[in-house]
Parts: sequence; C-alpha cells; structure tokens
Amino acid sequence: MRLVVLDVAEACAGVRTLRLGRPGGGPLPAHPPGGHVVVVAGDRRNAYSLTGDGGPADHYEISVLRKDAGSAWMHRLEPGDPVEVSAPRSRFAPVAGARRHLLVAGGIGVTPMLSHARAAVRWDRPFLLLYGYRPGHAAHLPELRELCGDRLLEYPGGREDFAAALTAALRCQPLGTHVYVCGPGSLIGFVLEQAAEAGWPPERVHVERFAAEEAGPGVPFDVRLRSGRRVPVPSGVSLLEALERAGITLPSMCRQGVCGECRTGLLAGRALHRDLYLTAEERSTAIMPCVSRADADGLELDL
Amino acid sequence: MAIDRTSVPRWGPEPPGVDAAGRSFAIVSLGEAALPVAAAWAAEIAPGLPLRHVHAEVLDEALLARFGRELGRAVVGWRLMLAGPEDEVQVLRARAAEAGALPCEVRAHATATGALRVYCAHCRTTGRAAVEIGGVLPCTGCGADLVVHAHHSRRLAAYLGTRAHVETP
Repeated sequence: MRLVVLDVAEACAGVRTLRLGRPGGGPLPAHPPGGHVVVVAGDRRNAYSLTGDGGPADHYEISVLRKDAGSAWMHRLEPGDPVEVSAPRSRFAPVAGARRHLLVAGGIGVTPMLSHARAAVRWDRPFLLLYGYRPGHAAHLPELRELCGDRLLEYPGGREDFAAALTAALRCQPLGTHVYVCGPGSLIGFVLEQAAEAGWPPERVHVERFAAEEAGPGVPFDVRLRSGRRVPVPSGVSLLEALERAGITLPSMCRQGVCGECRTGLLAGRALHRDLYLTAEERSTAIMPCVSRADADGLELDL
Repeated sequence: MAIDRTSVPRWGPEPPGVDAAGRSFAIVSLGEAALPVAAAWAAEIAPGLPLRHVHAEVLDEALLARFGRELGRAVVGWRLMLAGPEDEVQVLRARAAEAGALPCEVRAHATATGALRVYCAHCRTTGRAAVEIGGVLPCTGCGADLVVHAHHSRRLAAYLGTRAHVETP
C-alpha cells in the first residue's frame, strides 16, 4: 500500500513514533493485536509492530528505534512523505481461549505489547504487563501508565529486579494464562527458560523477535537447481541475492528471516538455518534464502 | 466406511504416562478399577512435587464442586491425570478445559467404555445410557428416540443425538 506520514513524534531518546495513513484518508485493513507491517525503508525492508488495538482505523502507528540504515531512513521521514507499506501480518496474536494474558516487554519490544494491552483493555481481557527499560529510553510509558493502571509493572534499569519479577510471575499465574514476550534475545531466552522450568507447556509461550540474529558472512558455496544449473553464492552475499543476480527472482519481503515470503523447497544438502520462521520440522525440507546458507558442500533447491 | 478424522475419542489399552514437565499434579480416580492406575501415576511423579489425589466411587456433585475449587487454585505448570469410566472422565476433562486447561495439560485413561453421555440436539438435555454409536436411546428430556452419532463434543463431554427415523416417511 502507498501510505503517507501523517505525523511524527519523539517517543523517547532514539525512538520516533510515526502515524501512517492513506493519502486521501479512509480506512486501513484491520489486524490482530501484535501484528506488524513491512515498510520499504530506503534500500531496506524493515518489519514494525503496529501499536493500535487492531480494530478498524484510518491510521497505523509504529515506533521506530534508530539502529540501522533502514531505521535511520525512517527517522528522516517528515509529515506528508510517501511510504510503501505491506498489508498487516500477524504471527503474534493473543490466543482466543486464554483466560489471562501475561505480557513481557523489554525496551522497544514494548510496541506489540502496547497493541496487546490496548486490545485487552478494549475487550476487557485480564492481563498484566511487565516492562523492563532503561530510564529515559522507555517508549510509550505515559500512555501505558494511563491505559494499564496497576496492570503495568515497571522495571527501570535493574536487570536483576526484572529477572526476579519474571521468575516469580511465571510461578503464580492461574491456569489458562498465556505469556507473550518481545524484546532482546537475552530476555526472550530468559523467559523461555524460566517458563519451561515452571512447567509451562510451549503452547502457552509466545515469542516475537526483532529480527534474525546477525550472523557472519558465511563461506562461499554452490547451489544446484532442479535443471542442474549451479549458482555460486560468495561469502557475504545472501543466497537470495545470489539467486537474484543469476536472474532467478523469488518472492521476498522482509529479507531478515522473519516474514516467510521467500520460503523455498530444500532437496539436498546441509542447510545452515538462520531464520526465525521455519519450524524444526520444516527445516529438513525448506530454507529461507534471505538469511540461511550452507557449508562448502552446497545445497540443492527446488527451483 | 473408514473415518480418518473423527471426534470420537480413542482410548489406548494402557494409561498414558505422567508429563515430566509438570510442576504440580492432580490425580482424580473414579471407581475401583481406577485405583491401580492412579497409584502407578503417583509413583511416577517426582517426589517433592505437589500432588493431590482425589478418589471417589462415582462422580457426584460434591466431587464436581471440589474439582472446581482445585481448578480455581491451579497455576500454570499444573497437570491433571484422570482415570475412570469414559463418560465421567470426559465430564472432568470438559470442566478443566473450561477453566483454561490445554489438551496437553490433561491426560486421561478410561477404565470402562460402556456408557455414553448423549446430548439431545432438540431439547438440549444430556442423558446417559449404555448405548453404542449408531444405537438409539430415549431422550430423558423430551422423550424422543435419539440416534447416537459418531460426533463427540469435548466441550459438552457428550455425543450428538438427533431424532431417529426423521428421514424415513
């Protein structure tokens, strides 16, 4: 969709909140809470959580932490500037049968949690939000305080306080609670570990990662296609880019191993999976060429 | 006709094992035949983990009330083990699901499969009788002859019954 920037606000140091809408106004597609859009940000495509409650709206709100070339491009946007935005996608929706929602946010990972909290308030669903942040770097804090009241617990700065509170919270949630976590990989790892320790089945634990962890450039390898054709993939060039340079265009969106768009059948070879999309089971028969690679023995793809 | 996918519960001959990931447990055993099953489960649960075992000969209102209080106290990490006649086990499982338990948090074993609970699609009464799928029983609510379908509701803990012979003039 071609949208325009409606307004820009400084959410906190390093974070800008953008409101996007149709050039002539009008409704945008609704989305489940915790949904995201992929925005074309210069030569990058970045995924940003939508912070609204997901109901019908004439604007989307996203909050952008400045950290890479794409987010720096986003920070230069002014009201009236056009932006290319995907339809909303959802991988992190609240579970309909849940009796209670335990929301865990670390830093800018608060954005999908704001969406969840807004929806929970709107639909009167029981919830509790634990928010860990560095003082002065807490996006959306005033609106969360007003929205959540005593359903917001804040952990400014103290990593140990936050960890102790998470451990305690995961041991006393009533049956029927689901937990949702978004934040740095270390926070997600901690919550997964503590939830498993407290006997949470994986079905109750829901995770939203920012992007696949940065990995090294990898070794060069060859990819074989069904036709027998071989395409070389140099070190530092993604499998997806190498295929594109060879004239083989695949559907792709986020190019960060998150969205699932470039999923390709894997026929043979030992893939080094770096995406956050495929399940363990799917990894024997599919690969996400935007981030995943192979060792020097190469791969055979269903192309 | 072979049915690949069905809502009709299938019970294995052997009771399932205990979920070792659980951090607290409740065992409910109904009828004498369920006692050895419950004892084997209790022995399998790691010592030191909280375990409540309730035994009763039949599922009555008092037990349901007690079970409701147990569900109200349960925290995530809790696992439920049920042994007893199929229809009674299903009633408890439906209560647990209503309280928010996931299918993976409840393990059950049927010690007998003679009686079925049947929900009347017309008057919405649920009755219980020694009947098989395809069989006919009178509805305790409206008196209609109900044919039992191969369609089981986990929420209602009952099979679907509809008026027999309605399609024959």
